[in-house]
Amino acid sequence: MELTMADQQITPADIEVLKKLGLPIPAETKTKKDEE
Amino acid sequence: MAIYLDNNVGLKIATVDLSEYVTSITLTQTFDEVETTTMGQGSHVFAKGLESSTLQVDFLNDWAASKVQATLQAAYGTSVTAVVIPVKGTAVGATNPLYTVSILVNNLTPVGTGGPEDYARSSMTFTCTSTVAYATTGTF
Repeated sequence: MELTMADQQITPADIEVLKKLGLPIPAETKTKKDEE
Repeated sequence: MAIYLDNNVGLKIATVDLSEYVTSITLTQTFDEVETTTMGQGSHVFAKGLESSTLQVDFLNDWAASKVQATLQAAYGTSVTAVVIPVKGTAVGATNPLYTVSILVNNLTPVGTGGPEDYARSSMTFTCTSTVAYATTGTF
């Protein structure tokens, strides 16, 4: 199955990990939640 | 021919690149076999069921900020995105596809394995909680 761009987007769980690590969240990346 | 030395596999977990700490990685794609045998058949018959893949990774432990242990600890108990590429640093394509999957970080071995003569390692097998997406375009 071909991966769509949506499949590659960062998830809310990924963002939580980045927040815990104190790492920047990619600003240009929409979350799946944002698209809903 | 598109064979390659297995020394440059890329791995990101929750977008954090942990490739430089990976000593071994195996993505096993599999799905359940659902039996559909009926009367009159001379053998078992199976059909494809749900995907049930796993991602096995051996890490050299690193407790530095945002490295192996901090990332896995932050992800512990959640499903996060794992991205694997056969040859990191090479363009994504048909001979170097991206594999993206959600993994449940349900086990950690922070103290790891190894004896006094070894660098501490962790060996974990993560259960995949999505299908494995295969892409020949995109970026790692």
